[in-house]
Amino acid sequence: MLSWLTVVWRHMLSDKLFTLITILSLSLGAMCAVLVGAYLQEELSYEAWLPDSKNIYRLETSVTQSGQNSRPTVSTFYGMKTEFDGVVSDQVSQTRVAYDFFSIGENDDRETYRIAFADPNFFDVFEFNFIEGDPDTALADPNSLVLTETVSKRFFGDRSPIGETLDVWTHSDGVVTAVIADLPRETHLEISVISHIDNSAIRDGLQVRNGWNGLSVRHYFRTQDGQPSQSFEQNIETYAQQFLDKNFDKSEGIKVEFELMPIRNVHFSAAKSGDLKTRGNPGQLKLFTGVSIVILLASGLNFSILSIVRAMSRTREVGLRKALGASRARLLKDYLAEAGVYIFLSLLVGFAAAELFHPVFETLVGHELSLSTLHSPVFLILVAFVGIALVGVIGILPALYLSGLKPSVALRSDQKIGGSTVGNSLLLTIQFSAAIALVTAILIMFAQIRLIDSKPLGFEAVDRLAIYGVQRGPTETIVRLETLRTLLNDEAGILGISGVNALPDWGRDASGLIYPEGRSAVESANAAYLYVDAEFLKTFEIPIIAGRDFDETYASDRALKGNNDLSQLSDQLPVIITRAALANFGISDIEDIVGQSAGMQIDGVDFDIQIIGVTDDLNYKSLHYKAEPMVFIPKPGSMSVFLVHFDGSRHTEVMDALNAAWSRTYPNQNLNIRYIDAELAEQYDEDRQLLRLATAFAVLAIFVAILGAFGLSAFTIERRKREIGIRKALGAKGGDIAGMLAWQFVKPIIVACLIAWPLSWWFMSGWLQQFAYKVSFSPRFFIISGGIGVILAVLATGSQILRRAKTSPSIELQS
Amino acid sequence: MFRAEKISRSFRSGTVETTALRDVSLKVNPGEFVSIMGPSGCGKSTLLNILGTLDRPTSGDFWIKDENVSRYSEAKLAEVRRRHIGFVFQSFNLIDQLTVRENVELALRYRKTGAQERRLKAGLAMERFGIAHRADHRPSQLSGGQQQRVAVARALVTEPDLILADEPTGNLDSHHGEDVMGALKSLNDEGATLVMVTHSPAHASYAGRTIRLFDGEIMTSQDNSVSQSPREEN
Ligand SMILES: Nc1ncnc2c1ncn2[C@@H]1O[C@H](COP(=O)(O)OP(=O)(O)O)[C@@H](O)[C@H]1O
Ligand SMILES: [Mg+2]
Repeated sequence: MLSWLTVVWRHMLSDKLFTLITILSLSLGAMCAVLVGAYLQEELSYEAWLPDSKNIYRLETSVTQSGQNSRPTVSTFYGMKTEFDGVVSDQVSQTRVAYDFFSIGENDDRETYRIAFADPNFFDVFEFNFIEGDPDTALADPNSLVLTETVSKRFFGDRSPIGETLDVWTHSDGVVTAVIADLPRETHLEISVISHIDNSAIRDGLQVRNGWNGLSVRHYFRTQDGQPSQSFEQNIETYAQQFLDKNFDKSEGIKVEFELMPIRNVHFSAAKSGDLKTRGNPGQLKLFTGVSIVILLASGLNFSILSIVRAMSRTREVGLRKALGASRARLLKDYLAEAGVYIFLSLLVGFAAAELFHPVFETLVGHELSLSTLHSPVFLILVAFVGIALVGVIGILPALYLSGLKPSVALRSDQKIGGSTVGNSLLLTIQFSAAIALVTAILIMFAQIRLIDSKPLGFEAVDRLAIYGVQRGPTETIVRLETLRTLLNDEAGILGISGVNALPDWGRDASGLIYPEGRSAVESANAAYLYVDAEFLKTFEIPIIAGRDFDETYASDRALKGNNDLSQLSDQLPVIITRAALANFGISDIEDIVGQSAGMQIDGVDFDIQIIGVTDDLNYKSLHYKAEPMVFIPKPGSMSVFLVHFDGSRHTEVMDALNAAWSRTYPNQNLNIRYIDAELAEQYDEDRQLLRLATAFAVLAIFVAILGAFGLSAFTIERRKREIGIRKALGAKGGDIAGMLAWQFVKPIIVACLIAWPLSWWFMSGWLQQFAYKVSFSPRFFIISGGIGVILAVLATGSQILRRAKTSPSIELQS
Repeated sequence: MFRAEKISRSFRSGTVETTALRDVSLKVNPGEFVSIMGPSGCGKSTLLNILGTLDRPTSGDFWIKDENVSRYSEAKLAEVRRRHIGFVFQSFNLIDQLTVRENVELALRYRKTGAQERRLKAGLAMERFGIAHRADHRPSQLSGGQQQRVAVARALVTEPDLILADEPTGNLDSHHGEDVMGALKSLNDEGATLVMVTHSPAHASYAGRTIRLFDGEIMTSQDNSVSQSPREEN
């Protein structure tokens, strides 16, 4: 054994180039597989950390209004819980949670959180890790607050917060009853502060929103192990329908469907309205798994093909061993074992590289990734199996080839002159297909992101900043904005100030219904809405194309100041709509719409509106979506951020002025700003991250392909030495030789293009589906990627080609 | 016409320097058939390589007509080779991936001869050496003698001013050896200039003149026309 290893070791040393190329590329493949494996493991382990998560379900609802697409949401109706009391026995527990943004804190020391308002038995279903407090009583009182460690630290440092008070906006005094550990990343839940579902901050709102579009709570069930899930599901269905029968007028043409979704499946099922986190992308995951397998195989192919190529110079050794009596089986075993040494050595190096490049990979995927699973014995056994499988797949070819040589042929001195083999072309074709497909994909992604960056949105985002944490009571917020405006009015560099309830990137799905005068909400269409103050359109430079902007010199436009309740309106509310909303009225001429009266419904409240102006369409949400019909509603009491339009060239002065004015308007509160253009760019973080990952994969694939091409050129061109000498003797110039050799390597790349292009076309058209505005496939992407492939192949093989082209034929012809 | 003047060629590998040729002067006239003999390692191939511009002398000059090519670059030498030289090697040096016809045409290809002319000339050359019926075979399917005749056809198809043959019969049995010598002799009879390295005195006697090399130097140069024909000696 030891002596055999010594022999293998000598082989490795005697052919340093081969050893370097194969081990380097195999270990890259292994590294890639290990890292993607860890990523895969993480993505597939969503909710697994939560005790008994496989028995927890969420009741999800899909509402279809006549003539409209169904709207699947993760929520259901607030009032359903009582309906289920019949089914819910000792075997099943149910609990609800509703989310809303509120600022908590004391006086001006506040922070806005998405607060989870839950039923008191929430922790029976979700057994979180309690650091302080008792899960059974933590939500006993409507004013209870359960904080995560991070939030607790934010307000109380290392002190115990139990019994401390924090007020929730202006509604209630909250009392901290418990602290839980921060939730890990791998969950659909988003928890920072938990309070009681009957907390006065939310109670009234929840009970008002009891119409069919009042899908306001997430409803969870936890069953017991062994509970026959089918009958459970049937029961749930039955009671849900009973609830509908009691509460809905079916004649409205509304269809409601329920789905009981195991929470373990949430991460990989289709996104629904109300998602708090981006779900996993199974397509992307499959792609990465596929790509890393291809890279691993491509690197393995380097080993197989280069072994065979190199084997041709080992034929004499084989002939000798056979002549000395070694059987084919014996040789096969030896050469397989030799492959095994290379492969396991590479796996080892690959593992080390994975540990080393782990932080880089984390930046690429955009979040932390634990490698701890990689150290478990189970995983190591798995790796051993993969290694053995690899030996079987990539070691078998060269071993068969070598052991199959006939000794009479192997020992002949006059080996054939020259020639390329099918295997060589195959290696280049496969490896470069992967590389070229990835490069094409990257080019298209890059162009798409450029398109997004340069697409006019209908509003100006540059040199606008948003100030957070401004929300107080409705009147109070307006007063503070006025104060701020007065203070900043004459400051140089401040170009405009306004307020709004939601920023573009908030991805808020808040839409109301809008309908022509004389009809009702039943015959209505959806329109997104924003609560704005009179300066909003000016601040964002949204052009009015018909009618007029808000103007407080009109009595009607002033009316809403201080009145924050749409149900209390006495007059028509003046609103401005976007061009896309015109379709909701069946009016094609924009001038005709101005002055029209109409109805609107938001959160079940109907009110009358008058259309005073029309703007061009706005991509207020990300460009993944088409510009939707929008309504601007003058309701400054609901502002949650202030907007400042400033002169970018006077940034320092602006910030000084802003800070000064801020500390007088909101004393004791830090100024918390973000730049709108930066926020908008963040909407495409995921797309950029995919681009980064794809680039990393492409670099790896290219590197493996280059190693392969270089190895091939080094080993095959050497073998064609004599042929090249003959050609030179017959009058071939260096250029003729270089051209001939280069063509040998370029031909497979052209075939690779023909494989890679359709692949990337097919995949990228899928990826582009998610954008409402997409780049068109231009031949440019494909030509460039193909060109890059050809150039890389020529560069990788160039040194060997040039060396051969330049050598004197007298040396090449020496026998 | 081909004139080597005091050419020397030494090889250096590491610290060891081997002198393969030492101050060799040689003149080959048009239409001449010169054979070179000498023990293995005495520099015959080295001399032939320099005559064929496959290699350059370390010192001395080599003239082709009025051109001193001994300092030419590799690219220029390739040019000279195209214009003047044809080769026949001991180990045939046919390319296995090409057919017989393609092997013969290859030399013409590098001279940018048109496809039609190429086909015509190659056809004639193969006809002449009795291998036309094997035109579409691979070299490995031919006997050694046939392969060497392909090589001869390939060497003459470009109508070179000088045909160089390095032990053309070295790998052949005597029957096939005669065969190939006949072919070379007939070329010379038609006016071709030949320089051939051989170990066989019999084959050397086909030439008009025999040069003997020893340890990189020319020992004797003997005019075969005044001596007895070695063929009759056998
Ligand atoms: N490329 C080379 N490098 C080093 N030594 C060489 C080279 N070519 C030939 N020689 C040496 O030059 C001498 C003459 O070689 P060669 O011309 O091939 O002899 P011949 O053809 O007469 O057998 C030999 O000693 C040989 O080892
Ligand atoms: Mg020799």
